[in-house]
Amino acid sequence: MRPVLRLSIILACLVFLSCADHGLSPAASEPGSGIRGRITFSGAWPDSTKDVVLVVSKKYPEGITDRDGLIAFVLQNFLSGGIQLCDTIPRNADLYDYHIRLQPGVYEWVFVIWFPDTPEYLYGVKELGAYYRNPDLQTRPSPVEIIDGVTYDRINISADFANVGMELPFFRPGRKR
Amino acid sequence: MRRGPARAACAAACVFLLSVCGSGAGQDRGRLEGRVVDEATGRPLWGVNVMVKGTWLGAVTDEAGRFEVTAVPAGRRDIEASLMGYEKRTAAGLEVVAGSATEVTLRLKQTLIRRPAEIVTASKRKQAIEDAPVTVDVVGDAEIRSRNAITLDKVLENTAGMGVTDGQIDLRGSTGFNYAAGSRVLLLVDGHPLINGDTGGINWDAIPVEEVERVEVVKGAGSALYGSNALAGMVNVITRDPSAVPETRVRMTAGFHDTPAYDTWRWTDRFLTWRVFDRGELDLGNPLGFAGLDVSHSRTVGPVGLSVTAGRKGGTGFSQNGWFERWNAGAKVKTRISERGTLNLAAGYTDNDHGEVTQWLSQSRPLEVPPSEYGNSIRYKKSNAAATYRHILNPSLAYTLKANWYRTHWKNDYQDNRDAARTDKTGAEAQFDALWGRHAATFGAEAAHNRAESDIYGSPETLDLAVYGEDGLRFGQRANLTAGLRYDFHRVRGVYSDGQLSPRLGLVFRPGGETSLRASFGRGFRAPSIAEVFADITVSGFHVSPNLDLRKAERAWSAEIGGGRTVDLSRLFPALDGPNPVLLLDAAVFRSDYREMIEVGLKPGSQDIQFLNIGSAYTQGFELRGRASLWNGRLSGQAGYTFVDSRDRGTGRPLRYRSKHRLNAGAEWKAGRLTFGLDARLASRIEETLLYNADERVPVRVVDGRVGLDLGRTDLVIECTNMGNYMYTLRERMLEPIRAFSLTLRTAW
Repeated sequence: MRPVLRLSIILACLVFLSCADHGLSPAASEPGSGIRGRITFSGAWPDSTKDVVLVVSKKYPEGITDRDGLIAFVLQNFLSGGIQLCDTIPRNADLYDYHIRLQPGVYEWVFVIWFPDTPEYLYGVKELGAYYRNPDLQTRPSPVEIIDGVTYDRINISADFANVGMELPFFRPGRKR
Repeated sequence: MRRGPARAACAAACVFLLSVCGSGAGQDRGRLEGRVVDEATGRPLWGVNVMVKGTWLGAVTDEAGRFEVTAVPAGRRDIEASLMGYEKRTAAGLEVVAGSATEVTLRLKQTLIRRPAEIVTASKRKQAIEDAPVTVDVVGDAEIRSRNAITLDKVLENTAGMGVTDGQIDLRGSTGFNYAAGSRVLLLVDGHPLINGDTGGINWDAIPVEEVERVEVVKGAGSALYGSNALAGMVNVITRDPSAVPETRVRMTAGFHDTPAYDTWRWTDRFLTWRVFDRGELDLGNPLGFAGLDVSHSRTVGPVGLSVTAGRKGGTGFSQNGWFERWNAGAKVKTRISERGTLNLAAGYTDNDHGEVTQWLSQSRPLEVPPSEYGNSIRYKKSNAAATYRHILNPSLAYTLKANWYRTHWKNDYQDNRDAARTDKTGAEAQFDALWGRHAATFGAEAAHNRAESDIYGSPETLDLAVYGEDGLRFGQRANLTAGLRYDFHRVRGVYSDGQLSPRLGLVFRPGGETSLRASFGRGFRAPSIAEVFADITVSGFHVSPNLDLRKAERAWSAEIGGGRTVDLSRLFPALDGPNPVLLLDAAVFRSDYREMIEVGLKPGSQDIQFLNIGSAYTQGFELRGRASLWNGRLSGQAGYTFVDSRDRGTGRPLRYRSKHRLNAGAEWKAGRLTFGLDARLASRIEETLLYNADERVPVRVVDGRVGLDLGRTDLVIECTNMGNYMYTLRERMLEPIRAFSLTLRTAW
């Protein structure tokens, strides 16, 4: 029966190896590239809140103010993976510490959006705040350049329910039923 | 309009019957009866298929191993007995005398590799598995019952080349994941389709696992016999027949989920293992776990065999909104209503109330759902009924009449919607099987009607009509040629109608020894489902809009070349110290070219989601399968590796939700009454997803382990699924099950 024993040892080793790797992990972003920081909320969370979500975009809609232009911008960038919806923030949070993994590259717009509690909240989505390297100079969100293997700290954002930014034609994808 | 097709089919059948039913009349007939026993132990064998060669006449042995074939034409006859796990045995030259019975005893030799001698799905009739021109995998009752699966898909995902994502079958890269709509693999239960009328998807909870005898998985286009949905293959679930003697069976399962691999992912203090090992105290109050109870009874009263089953399963799930509570009941009746006619009736009901997880909150909290989805649930009820009548007109001609009905009724209880839909799917089929000379032919007609009532679909209706025929031509013992053709007419009331022609050609060649070569080439199609055309729904702010321009069925030309060989390992490896080492090897290369492929995407010019004809795509690859048995069957195992290269020709990118490499392997070691088993499922990282394509994804590396104890009429299985507690996703932002432990007790009396 020695071969049986040998095969059993091989199988046991395979099982052991499979136990050594846990696949996806929250720590996967630690040695990789990404950003982390704190979102500070001010003002009261409206009762009509559906979700508040952290978003990163490789492009900023510079000079685009009309709705059709924004739709085209969001659609084009979402399809190409240029816009990523990241963490959904627990309701009524005052502070939220986030940590997300990102591919290397320049992200021109790291921001927080608010979804109203309407059946189709594609309409009425608002920007609550964005990342500004100098919070006193909020003319245009600050780009974040990600280098492979580096996680950038202190990408902090102030989100103010009392002082919302532009309206965005955003949707939150989910599963079709 | 609904009755038209069935009436036409019946009329055609009657005309045909009148023309042929006299052909057997007037002949002198006798009976063949006897027993089938195990060659080594002399134990009577139940469920053996005994056929009179060259005819459709046959019988199945009862618990005492006895069989009786009536109305056998007098003269010299050969009979063949086959049973999964045994070598096929032929008794040649039996003299059948008119008006009397010829007694025979057949002794079958157990094979070391459990493999059925006959299958029923590949050509819609009984045939030897080696005569099938396509790849066929069979999952037997022992494989099903050795695992503690609550739904059958959890067993089938160990089959070579098969992946299951959220219940959707991906056979050799055919489907990937299409948001539970539009299966490209046709699911059948005892030959009757069980595809949802509205979504075109599959609900595995409608199939009671304990009642399954075996599952035949046929890979490759099957539309030439089965029509829509059989674009990439068929999965036919064969349920067990009622028992000849009264039998009651009980299965009890209970288990619990382990804690996730990372402390930060613990979203509740209800994880049992956390309580035991981390807190040092055991609190059994409401831990995250699951339990189930199935009871069935079967008996035969006079000519009527009856089995009834009922069960309940429930659990908390391992994540927020993961709970479920499921009830099911079913019945099956089998009766011989004449000397040559058999009637099967089956019915089932399932009520599944469960929480709904759409996506995780974040990768740092993947077992929680966004606040806007917390508490979302759906209640899904399914009812089905099926009738099959088979009549042997004469030894070489038989017909089968089928009717079926399947109702699905779901209702959302979401924060943002209360949508509901009820769909009734009704079908009828008349099939004829004929033998003459070297030919074995199958032909028939089929009709199906589908009607939905929903606030998201409206009230659409579809009608499908089809005629088909396939002939198998045998060239001695060396070769078989199969040619088939089917025409399908599909109409969506008030929207469009469409016709599809599906040919198929197959060749099997046995050059000698234990080698078999096969080739097949055929066309398959899938008509868009009601949901894909009419769905108008908003979930989580994500609007799915109807696409009334989705008028083209997706189609694919598929080809496969393969071969199999049985190898006596003792010749190759004399050092193997036990008797009967056997290895079955099989290899196949395949390719499918799709046209007008239907995938979910973004509606042009808007942000709405729609099902669209995306154009052309292909999948191609190869598959290697092996099954071995060593030391007189004490150690056995199987493995299947599948390579799939898929591409959307329009974008040049891989098709979504497909893994390029997939390895399914399993091994079992028997030591007295104990059995130790392992299953491994490995797959490379999914290459593309529709949403969040930039998200981190990892390969699949899952190992399940189990220990079984056989106590005769009672058996016990302890199972650990996902032993490595490996965390992975098969679709965007949805964590697959974490490690779980379960115990199943089965007993029968």
